[in-house]
Amino acid sequence: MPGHDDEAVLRAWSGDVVASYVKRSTPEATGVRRALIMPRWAATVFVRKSREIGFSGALRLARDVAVSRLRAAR
Amino acid sequence: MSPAPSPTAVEAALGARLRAVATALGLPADADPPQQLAALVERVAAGSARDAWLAYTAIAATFPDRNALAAFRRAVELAPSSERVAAALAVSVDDIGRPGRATRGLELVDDPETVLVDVSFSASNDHNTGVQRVVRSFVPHWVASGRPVRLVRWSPFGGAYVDLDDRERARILAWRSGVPTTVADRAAERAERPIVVPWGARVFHPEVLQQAECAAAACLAEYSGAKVGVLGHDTIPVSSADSQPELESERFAKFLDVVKHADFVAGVSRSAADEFAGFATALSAQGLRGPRIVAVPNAVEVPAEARAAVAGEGAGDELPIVLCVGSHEPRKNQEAVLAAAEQLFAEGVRFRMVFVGGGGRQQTASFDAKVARWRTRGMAVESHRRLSDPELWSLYRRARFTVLLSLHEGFGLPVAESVSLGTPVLTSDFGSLAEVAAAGGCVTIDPRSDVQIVDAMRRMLADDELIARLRAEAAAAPERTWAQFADELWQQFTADEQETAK
Repeated sequence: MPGHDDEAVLRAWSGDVVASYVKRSTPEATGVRRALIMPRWAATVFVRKSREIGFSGALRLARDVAVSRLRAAR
Repeated sequence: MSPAPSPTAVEAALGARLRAVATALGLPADADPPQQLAALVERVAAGSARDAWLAYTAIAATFPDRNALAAFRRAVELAPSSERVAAALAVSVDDIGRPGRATRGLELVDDPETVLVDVSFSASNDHNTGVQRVVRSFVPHWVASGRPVRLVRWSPFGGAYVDLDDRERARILAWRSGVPTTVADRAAERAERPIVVPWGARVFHPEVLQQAECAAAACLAEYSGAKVGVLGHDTIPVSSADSQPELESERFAKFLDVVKHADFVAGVSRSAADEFAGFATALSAQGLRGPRIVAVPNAVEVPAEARAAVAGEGAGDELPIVLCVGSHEPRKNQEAVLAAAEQLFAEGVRFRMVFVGGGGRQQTASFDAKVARWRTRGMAVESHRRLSDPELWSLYRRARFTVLLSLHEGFGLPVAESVSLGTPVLTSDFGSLAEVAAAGGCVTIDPRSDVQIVDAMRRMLADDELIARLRAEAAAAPERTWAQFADELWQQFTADEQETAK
């Protein structure tokens, strides 16, 4: 049967989860994200896409690509 | 960034997710989280990869990729019995500790008849060309005909499916072009939603996944027990990679990992099916069987206003129009068509050559310069990057014939649309274009032969009898509706289950 130890383990885990969240939300982490999502090629792709599908469409695509790359960059 | 969740909320959400999977994993239904976790790790330690996949998903609120799943199973199996819970939880922190995930709920979809349709891109973007048009055409038929489908997308926070919100559903089921999403709507789409987890249900991918989702989707296909289907549009990003941006090729290569573990692929033409069959054959080198592959050709439905656009060829036009529709990239072969048009102009043949289609600057700059040069010499040639639908339909209807001499297509929509509108086509004599052309109304040639292109265009410009015969063939060609496509696709995807049930 689980007892006091398992409850303590669960508390420690939830603390780790929150700490991980906070760490990923710091200005430094956000800065890293910006670096990740704004590589040089993005500007070229953005200009081409905006010609094809318009500025706002390209902006949305760029955001989605950036989010995908961010998720991939573990 | 939203405020950090409290540890209490994180624990409560975990408890709720464990309750949601309790029956599936044989956990005590009314127990508290520590008790359920103890039972869960014992179940994982027993060795079923499928159980481990669901256990990880419940703890991490995230579908694992192969590495995460292997690490989870290893941690549980190798830890002493008294430390298994701690080991299992520790592995999940990297995934669940990401924004938007820690307090997610979980809904298990365990009805084997239900199909989760992953429409992530079309649901979250206003872009509407090739693949999105297909999705927005056939998925509404699945929904309207009462099929047990559930439309899902990858969560804006990543890692798992969520249901669509109203705005996203509208993008699929009631698409209207020119209605862009506002910034406020985009913010609303990031609201936290419970994750939707297939457990015995089926999953269908009508789109190529984003690269970041491929690893988890492949792991789902391999380990979750879900029957996974894919709509195979083409393999152009890898098999004609020279005309594709590098990121597209990279993304598609990762997507093939999902295809590798899928149960079913429907090619949108026989040629597309053959391409995927080739990939499936290669899987024997990995000891894998690969998916069952069939061809379910795309439908073509042109709107009534397109048919009514203009009375027909030559209405008000001084010169016969030759129309070439398609994005500007090397495989589309527009350079060869332009060269043939130049040759005919030099011979004294007079017609109006019209190119329509967007493209990257690298591809279009030199082409546009050539077009401009020939215009100054008196040739009636023009290149449009963007045209409204009514303008394009009008051109289709007024054209003497259209030209699509692509070297590689998954289907060849411009050919099918032109035939559907009764306008003859000059197209390639192989692959999906030849398949579409077989319905009638087309002349097929070798698109790699400049001589054949010039000869065919000259003949189609001069021979009124030929054009009349092709128009008659096009008018008699059978129309394939999206409802037919949707029915056939559903039947093929669910065929193995139905046969088993007999």
